[in-house]
This record gives sequence, C-alpha cells and structure tokens, in this order.
Amino acid sequence: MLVPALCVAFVMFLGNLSDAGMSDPMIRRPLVMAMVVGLLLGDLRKGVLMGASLEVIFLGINGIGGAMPADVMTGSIFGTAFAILNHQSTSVALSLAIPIGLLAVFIKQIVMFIKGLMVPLFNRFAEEDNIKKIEHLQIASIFIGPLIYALIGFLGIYLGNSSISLLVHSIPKFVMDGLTVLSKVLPALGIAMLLNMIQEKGNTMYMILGLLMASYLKLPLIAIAILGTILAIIIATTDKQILDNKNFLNDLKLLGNNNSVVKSSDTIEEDFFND
Amino acid sequence: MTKTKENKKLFNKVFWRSFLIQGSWNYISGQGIGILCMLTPFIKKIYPNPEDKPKRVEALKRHQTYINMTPAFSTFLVGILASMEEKNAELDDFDASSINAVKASLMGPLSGIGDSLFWVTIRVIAAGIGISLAKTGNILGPILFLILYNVPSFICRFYGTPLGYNIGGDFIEKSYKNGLIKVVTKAAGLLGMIMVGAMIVSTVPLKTPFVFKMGDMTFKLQEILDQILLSIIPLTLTLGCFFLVKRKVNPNKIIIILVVFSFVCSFLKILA
Repeated sequence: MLVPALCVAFVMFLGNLSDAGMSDPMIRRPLVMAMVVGLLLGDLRKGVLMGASLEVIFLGINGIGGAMPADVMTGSIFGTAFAILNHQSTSVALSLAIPIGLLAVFIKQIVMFIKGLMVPLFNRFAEEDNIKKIEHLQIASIFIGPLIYALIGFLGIYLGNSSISLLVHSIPKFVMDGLTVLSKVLPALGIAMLLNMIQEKGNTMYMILGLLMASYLKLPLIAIAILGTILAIIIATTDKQILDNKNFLNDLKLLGNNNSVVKSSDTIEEDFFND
Repeated sequence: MTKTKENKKLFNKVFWRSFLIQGSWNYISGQGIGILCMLTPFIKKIYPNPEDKPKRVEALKRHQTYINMTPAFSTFLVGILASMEEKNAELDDFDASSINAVKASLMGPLSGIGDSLFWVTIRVIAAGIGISLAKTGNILGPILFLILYNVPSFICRFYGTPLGYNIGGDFIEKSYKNGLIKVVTKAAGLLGMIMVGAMIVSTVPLKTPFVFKMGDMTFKLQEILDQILLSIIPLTLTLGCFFLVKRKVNPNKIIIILVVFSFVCSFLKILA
C-alpha cells in the first residue's frame, strides 16, 4: 500500500496547492482530480468516468471561503482511489466519496486555524516596514494546506484501505439506495448556494427562463449561455440609456437650480436697486 | 516612455503574483495579504525613500484588511488601488481613507460580477462540456474543462491591472454614484440566474417512481407532475434548499436534513 498511498498523497498535495498557489484554476475539481488519481493508480478510464459522475454531484458546491458543506476534493480523491484499489464499481465509489467528503470538512478547519495564527505576524512585519518578510511568509503559507492534505491522503490510504474494503462488502442495500438518492439530492444544495450568491430582487424570473429553456426547449448549456449573454447585453444597453437620460435630467435640474439661484439673487439685487 | 515601460514591468509582476492570491486565505483577512503582496511592487516604487517610511507602513497596514473576491478580477482591483496609492503620494490633501472606501465598495460588485461570470457561467459551461466527454471515458473531458475555464481567467487577470490602473479610482467613484456599476452587476447576475435555472435541469436528475392505484387504473406520479411543469421536483427541492441557505441555516445542518430526507424518500420509494 506504500506506493498507492504516496500517489494519493501527491494528488492531495497538488489539489490543494492549485487553490492556494495557482489562484484556483479548477484543478481541485472532481473532474480533474479523479482523472489524476486514475492515471497514477493505473486505471485512467475509471478515474475519468468517476470524475464525470462526481462533478455532476458537486457542481454547485464551492470550496473557497465561507462555510463549506463538504470537502469535494478529498471525497472525490478517496472515493476514486478506494474504488480502483479494491476493484469496485463506480457506484460504490460514489457512495464512499459523499460521506468522506462530508467528514473531511474538518481538514479545512485545521488549515484555516493555522493560517489565522499568521495574521498577527503579518501585522507585525507591516509595522516593522519589512516587505521582504511579508512576501516570504505569504509564499511559505501556500504550502501549509498542501502538506496537511498530503499527510491525510497518505495515512487514509496506508491505514484505511483494508478497513474500507471490509466496510464496502458489508454495506446493506437500503444504505446504498439511500446514498444513491442523496447523490441526486446534493446538487440541489450546491445550486441553492450559487443562487444565494447572485439572487437579487427582480431577477428570479430569469432562473425560471433558464429552467424552461433547458427542460422544454431542451437546449444545450452553451446555447443557453449565448442566448443569456445576448439578453444581458440588450438589457444592459437599455438600462444604460435610461441611466444616461436620468443623469442628463439631473444635470439639467442642477443647472436650472443654479440659474434660478442666480436669477433670484439678480432679482434681489434689482429689488434692492429698485427700492 | 520610460515610465510606461516601467509600469508595464510592474503590471506583469502583479499578474504573476496574482497566482498566490489565495495563499494565506483565512477567516480574518480573507485574501487581504494576497492583495497586499500583489501591490508591494507598486508600494516600493511609490514610496522608495527611507524618509517615506511612515506612509509606507501605513500603506502596508491599509491593504491587509479583509477582502474576498473572484481571483479573476483581482488584478483589476489592484490596478485601481495602485493608481489611488500614487495619488496619495503626490497630493498632500488626498484622503487616504478613500482607498479603503473604494476597495470596500468595489468588493461587492466585483465579486458579484466575477461569480456570475466565472463561477456560474464559464465554469458551468466548461464543466458541462467536460462532463459530457468524460462520461464516455474520454480523457479530453477534464483537459478541455481546464482549458475552457482558465483561458478567460488568464486573459482577464493579464489585462486587468493596466485596465484598472488607467481607469483609476475617480472613474469608479463616479460610476458608483451615477449607478453604472449597478447596471453591469444586474446584467451579469441575470446571465448567472439563467445558467442556474438551466443547471437545475441538468444536475438534479430526480424522478419519482411512485405509482398509485385507483380501482383498475394505475397512475404514475411522475407523468402527472410532468403535465404540470417539467422538472418540478428538482425546482422545488432547490428552492427548499435556497430557503434554508437564505435563512442562514448552517450548511452542515442542511446536509444532515438532506441525508435524512434522502434515506426516508428512498425507503418509501418516493424518490429514485
């Protein structure tokens, strides 16, 4: 188990490093991570297939910042690795990936805790006017997460694989069925979190529009995106025109007010002189 | 000429440093240190002398404040901050607190636009294409996903700094006041909402196998629901989750609710 454990540790390291040190180029997503696990453990096809199924389940769930309901990356890596190492089907892998992902949230909490401890240090370096130290600590901080993730990846496979394979054989059917339904229900939470990010008063109807385009018109995503972009541009241009008119009117009003102020002072003066 | 050349060098530096923006992400300062480290080349150039130390220290402290935004738009913000910081050094009566005011007021709209554009629209399209290829075991799926997402993100970050630097803080303050930022945010949000609607259909494939009998007739519940509205189950479920998220229920609690819900529905053969 030493070599597979090292491989999984490397994938965990790479996945977290991509977030911290490459400004999150989506390498940590299940679609990519499962493929890399498959490549290293010698079953590329299974890895790619698993990545596709996992990406659908976790599509909406975000890993950066804020509260996170599941560690998508760790769940996907372990689920794929256990399925390949124990020669299990993809559905077993999925039912492993979800609970592992839910449990693994604590890893991020550890990393966040350690990174939180560095904040006073950064403040002190700023006080000391030491730009070099700030930059060096920032570069060093990139590796905190990846090292912790790699350690957990190694231990999880090295110590956990035999017990997992025992567990897999003893999962009762109703648990498997329940997990299958859960894997179809979870995307709803991810989408709800996306909605929470962008929903505003008055734009809910556009969600229904997208839903109808996909369900009744059966348009592919890219066509919906292009139609959506066109609609967004049309609405932005009209809004811009309304805005310009409004601002123009406001300017006129201001100008008018100024004139009236001048006029009134004129009249006062005139009145003064007339008197 | 030399000045533009020097600036170009600094813009490139900001681009390369933007890769580390999430490096020390934490709950206290978010990407604050990441933004600061993207700005330090400018800070060094703007306050070069030993006697500028008080102003330099102030700038170093100023840019550590909490910020969290889509990385793709970070260089644009840094460009604006750099131009404001330059003004702060040149003009004696420049109000330095306006730098953080612009930063705070831009964070919302920039992440709103960035999230709608990158996280919701581009990523979902890229993932959709990637998934459909990967489903057949094609290795091009994940690779195409990475290319489709990262090319726009790289372009955005590479040209972001000069764009933000040339636009400057004045323009931003003005467009904030006259409402231009609202128009752009609204348009991006609209596109994001359309994509979210489409995603509900493509990623929540729930159907009910429930069948009930009335005398000799059997009714399939799914067929009846389809007559009302296609994908009514995914929509209801998503809106239910959204209601909980909006109520600020802890996501882990929502997960537990969903686990119980799934097992009960699977046991009663209501969902499959």
